[in-house]
Amino acid sequence: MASAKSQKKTTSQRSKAICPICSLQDGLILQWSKPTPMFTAGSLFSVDYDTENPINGGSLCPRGNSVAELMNHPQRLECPQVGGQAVDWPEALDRVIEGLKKVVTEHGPESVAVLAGGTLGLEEALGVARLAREVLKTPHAAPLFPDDGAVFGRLTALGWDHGFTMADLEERQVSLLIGDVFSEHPVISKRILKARYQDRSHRLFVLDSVPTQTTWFAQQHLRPVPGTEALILAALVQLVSDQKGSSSDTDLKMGLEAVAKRTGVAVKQLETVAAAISEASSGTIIQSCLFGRQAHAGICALLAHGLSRLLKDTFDYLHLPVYGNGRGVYQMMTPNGDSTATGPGILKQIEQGKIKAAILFGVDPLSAMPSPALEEALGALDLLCDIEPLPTLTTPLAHVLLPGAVGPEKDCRWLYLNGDIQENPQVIPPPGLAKPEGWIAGQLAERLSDGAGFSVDAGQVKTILSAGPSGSWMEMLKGEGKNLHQELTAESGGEGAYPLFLVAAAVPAHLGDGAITRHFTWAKRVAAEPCVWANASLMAELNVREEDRVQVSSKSHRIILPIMLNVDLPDKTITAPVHFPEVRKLFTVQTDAATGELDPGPERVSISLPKET
Amino acid sequence: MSEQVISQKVVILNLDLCVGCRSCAAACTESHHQYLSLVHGQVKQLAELPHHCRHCQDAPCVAACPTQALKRDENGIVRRHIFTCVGCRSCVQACPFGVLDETLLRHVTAKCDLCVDRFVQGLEPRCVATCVSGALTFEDLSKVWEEDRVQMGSRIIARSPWKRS
Repeated sequence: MASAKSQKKTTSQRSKAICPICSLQDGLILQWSKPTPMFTAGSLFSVDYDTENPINGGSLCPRGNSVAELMNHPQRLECPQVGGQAVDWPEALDRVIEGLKKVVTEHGPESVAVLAGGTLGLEEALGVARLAREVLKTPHAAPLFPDDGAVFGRLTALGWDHGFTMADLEERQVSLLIGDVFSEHPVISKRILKARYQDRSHRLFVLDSVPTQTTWFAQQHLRPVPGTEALILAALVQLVSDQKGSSSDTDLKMGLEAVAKRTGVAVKQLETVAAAISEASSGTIIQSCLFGRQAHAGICALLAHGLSRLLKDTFDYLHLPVYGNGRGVYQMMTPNGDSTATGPGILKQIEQGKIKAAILFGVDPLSAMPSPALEEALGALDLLCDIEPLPTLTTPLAHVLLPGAVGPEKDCRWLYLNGDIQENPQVIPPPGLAKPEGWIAGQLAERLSDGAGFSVDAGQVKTILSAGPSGSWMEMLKGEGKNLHQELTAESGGEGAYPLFLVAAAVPAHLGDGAITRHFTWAKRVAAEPCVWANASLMAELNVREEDRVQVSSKSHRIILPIMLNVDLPDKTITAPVHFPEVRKLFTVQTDAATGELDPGPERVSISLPKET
Repeated sequence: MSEQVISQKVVILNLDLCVGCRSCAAACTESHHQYLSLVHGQVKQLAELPHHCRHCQDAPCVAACPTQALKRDENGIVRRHIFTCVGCRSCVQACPFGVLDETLLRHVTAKCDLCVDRFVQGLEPRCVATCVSGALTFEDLSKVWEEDRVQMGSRIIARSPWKRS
């Protein structure tokens, strides 16, 4: 049936690859045609579906479908730039070395900062860490995970000992999802929904303060007041431990009536969920947190982990954004749990003018934590070296801009969701003069140490990853629980000026701060401009219609946005997508007291008509 | 002709499973030079469901096309010829299901071709292959009719004020 023309069209080279965009690391097939007279500029890629992959079975989310566009993007950085002028590698590296040496001589090695993102391979991340600690001798080296940083340190201390596979999800009797799991990581929905609809005894519970695409499928939607998710989890821990007859001294104990009053979730509903969890023979707890969605994400992670431990071997806990390669990069950058420097802490020091030179390996601080003060401080650095595959909000400020590579263009190892280290062979070389970040770190180390450098091998990576747990969830909560208990049980005050909660909304086409995904054509079409969603009573109160412009104000920022209707939203709650930097500015940058990492919860805001109208 | 069309495979949506992530639309645009051949019906964030071309047996879009740019090919797929289409949007008005997007790209309308490059290899279209929740399937229409499957899932009915239970 196939015509000769169609057969000719399908002739192409194919290679299996891993989606480099999020922590699920879905398998896909990259297929490309060799350059032809028509496409002399380079190869033409497309994405095909790897139906044999154990993680996704071929399914890809909107971001995964855009991987070919990422690799073939017209804006890809293809050659090093110094002061906006294209140069060759030796000249660019010399400029970085010269700048670093000058800063170290004048201000000392501690005035240099190195930040790394989650897209690096394991050896690359270790190379970057060793460049900072052994060659530059700066303590200011850290990963920057703006959406879930508070969780990494705690889960590292608890040990990453689970042997979780995606296929397990289909067999479980209970799924407790914390956050909008289906929107942030759509690929995981297939297994959970299969269990939900094929096994009548399966129970799906969702804990989220706002209705989402995930809550739609829930048999029980635990909908607490924004920011009080930790209390719900503490109550579940309490109820389950009572039913199981085990002890759980979490310092978050309070009467169920008091929890119900503070969170707005009925005692009966909590008891129903706890009973179903206790009685189930197996289950999964999946947490997915986003900038501005859950307050105290780290404590929530401890409690969710604790809940799974109370249920012994029958339950698994999975913090989606943290497992996978993000965890690998965190452990490489902070070996032995040594987190004296944190990403947000380093950015704070940049703002305070204590840092004079910064090297950014796949990190965009202005997308992650946008603020005029940070922008000004980054612009005032003596040396800003930015290594990125695509332009970001920070790249215009960089003195030296080095072109990096994306996943399938690197030959490296990645950490998988189940804790295995997997080879990620290079599928295609990077475009132009672009180089993998590991190569760049190695070159900088070699030149800074007059040819000595260092080698990074798989053995070192394995040793760091095999570090065991250093604490238990109950001990860790004992210290942290008291402060949180006071905060959560206190009568909520100071609402006068800012009566509404702004909760972050996830857009499946975008990931996190949108630093990568905002380049994708499809993602631009889905969410072209920022907006705010409100329910009908709030819109009536303001006397506005859909797409009218309203002013949203928080303590830190004010912005005018079009308003859209979402009839399901609870009172006093609005949502907005946080991959837009202008929306992110509304959130107060909070760091976690225990880990020093970013822990942004829902924000208190007010909404009004713009004064011009 | 009718026998051939009835045995044709079509894209079926299970309303109960769709999570509204729009992966299907992303796969469609990324593989068709940014032409989007399926539209999403949105009910104020309650539901966001894709509408696919049915490749109708007696396709109104084919009848409406003044330049015969829309034709049924030898595989039973209703396809749009890119050089003959003048972007008049007659097909958009004629489509009884509203699956044709009125937005023109490079002066022509987008039209689902069931990913013909995959179809000839016996593979499902990309929207089905990429579907993250298993909501989209590529099935024989006659089989669907034989099984007497109800096309409107509980999803919409559950939200309806006329819900039975």
